[in-house]
Amino acid sequence: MSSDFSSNIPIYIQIMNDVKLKIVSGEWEAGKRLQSVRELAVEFSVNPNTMQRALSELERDELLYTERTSGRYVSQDQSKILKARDQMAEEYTDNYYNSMLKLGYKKEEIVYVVSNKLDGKREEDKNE
Amino acid sequence: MLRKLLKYEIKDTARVIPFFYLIAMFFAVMALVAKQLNLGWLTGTSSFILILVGIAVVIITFVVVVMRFYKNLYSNEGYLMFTLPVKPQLLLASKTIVAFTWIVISFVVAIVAICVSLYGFGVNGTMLAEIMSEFEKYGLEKVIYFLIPMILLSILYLLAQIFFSITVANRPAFYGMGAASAFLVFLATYVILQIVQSVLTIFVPFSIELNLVGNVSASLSTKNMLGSLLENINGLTPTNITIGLSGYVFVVIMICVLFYLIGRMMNRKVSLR
Amino acid sequence: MWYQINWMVKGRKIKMSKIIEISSLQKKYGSKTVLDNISLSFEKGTIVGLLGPNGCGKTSLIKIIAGLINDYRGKVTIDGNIPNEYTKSLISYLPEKTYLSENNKAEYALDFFEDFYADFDRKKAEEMFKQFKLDPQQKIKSMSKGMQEKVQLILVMSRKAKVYLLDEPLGGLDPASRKAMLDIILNNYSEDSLVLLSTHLINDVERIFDRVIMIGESKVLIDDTVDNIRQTTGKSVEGLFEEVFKC
Repeated sequence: MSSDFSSNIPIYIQIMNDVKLKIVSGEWEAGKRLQSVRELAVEFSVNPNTMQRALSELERDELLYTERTSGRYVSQDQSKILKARDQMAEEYTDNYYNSMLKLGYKKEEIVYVVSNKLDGKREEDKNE
Repeated sequence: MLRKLLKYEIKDTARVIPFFYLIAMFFAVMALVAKQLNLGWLTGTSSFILILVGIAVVIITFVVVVMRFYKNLYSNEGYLMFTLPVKPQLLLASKTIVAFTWIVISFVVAIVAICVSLYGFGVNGTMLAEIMSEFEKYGLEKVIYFLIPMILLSILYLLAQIFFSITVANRPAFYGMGAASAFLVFLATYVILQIVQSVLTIFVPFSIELNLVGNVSASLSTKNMLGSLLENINGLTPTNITIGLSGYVFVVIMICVLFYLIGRMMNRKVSLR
Repeated sequence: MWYQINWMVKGRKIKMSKIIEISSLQKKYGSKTVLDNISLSFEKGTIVGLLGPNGCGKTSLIKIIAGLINDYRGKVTIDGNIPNEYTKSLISYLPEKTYLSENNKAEYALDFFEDFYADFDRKKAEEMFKQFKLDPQQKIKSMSKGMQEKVQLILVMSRKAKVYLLDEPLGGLDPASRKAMLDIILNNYSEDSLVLLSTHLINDVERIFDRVIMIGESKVLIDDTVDNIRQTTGKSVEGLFEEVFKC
């Protein structure tokens, strides 16, 4: 919970990432109606104002939209969702790449490690 | 709001005090039954215990209401009581009203208990009637009219002093002193007030004069007690006795003063630990 | 409403609804000053953390607002009024101690709150009792400390008060209970109210604060939003706290 929050990133940004993940992964489907800010605040166990700020930012990024009378919804615009997904994927990849570099791996070695991993995963899938 | 405070005050004290009334009733019934059945030893014993129980009832009632005052206002419960949306004076009023009522009831119970035990010891109706007519000869039955308000005032006065002492002892200045501080403050208050009262009673020229010759009669006078006392000391046969009244006036005034001060202290200076 | 806090971030000035205003507050115990010329104000719709070493400052501040301490210098107003029986009706106060009548059942406390506080929602309290498996028929003194704390928090949060003053509401609870308490606070909070919460368990609670105030050596050392603190110092509130109060 709070130990999930790294210290120097504002909480609202971390909430944004959590919500983005839910959208991008499809856990919150496109067009899904969100609960009220307060209910979400309780679910994520954060201050409602913080929750509101996170949601507003995501609205600015067009991953969410508000219909004045009926509430907040996940965007139906698949291109936006895919774009967000791609952005997150790139971030994860960057992080992975930098971490591996720190371990001392060279670029070719990294490709090898990843490729091996994927082969292993393919085998697992075949055997299921 | 006062009604609600009274309701809870009664609820909490009614868990303990009536229990002792029942004990008194138990022994009273035992004494009466034993008397009817002519069981001398049982009658005597239960009557004796009944007197003790009667006295105990009054003492225990005092203890219960004083403990309640302290616990409800100056222990942890005070955090709840002093943050209720009521003026602290109402808290004081509700406690005083309920405490006073229980004590008066206990007095009545004690008197009844003593009467029953006297009956158990053999004092019967004819003896009482004889005593009453002796009183009436001297016009002393009027003393009752005087005695009852005096007793009620004294109860209220004592309560005021006790509540005052507890409140004073819970001011920040007294934190270092511990539980004994309330008792010490009470002692100091009681002694000082008694001294002032006695001085006023003797020296202030406002009194009742009792005419002892022939029909005893009483009248207000502006003599002070000192003269009358000196006469008595000098061996002259007193034809009049002067009893200073200013003491009683002082008591009435002090009751008002004490409660006013308690109310003010509750408003401003009490800090809970 | 929800944007009340954003002016600090976007630099816009929106008219605030200040529910508590404190100016030049000074409180001494004998020769020891615990609050030295403190000026603060609090807005509705915020959850504010009051942090500081265990001593006298933050508890005294809370008690002064609650109306339990009346000898202080300076001006304290709640909804424009000095602490009196009117402000007590606006404030729902939870002290560190158990202040319920221990010889009575929890139900007695429900009756009591219902009688004295017009804004008390008995149904809500009873539901929360059920939710936390608290038996109204049980005597307070036979409950564990954790249960007593939950009972009190439920009673306090079941009022629709303008100000909730919570003094160390999480002490002595296991982590699961702490999360449950935070949920109660978040669930019952409204944008018309202020929640002022003092604690030393910052780690658990940081996420529910809009703003934190750190009081040390009788002065306000830090007064900022949680997000600002993280952005400008690169530390969590707990990290900043440790730095500010290092011995």
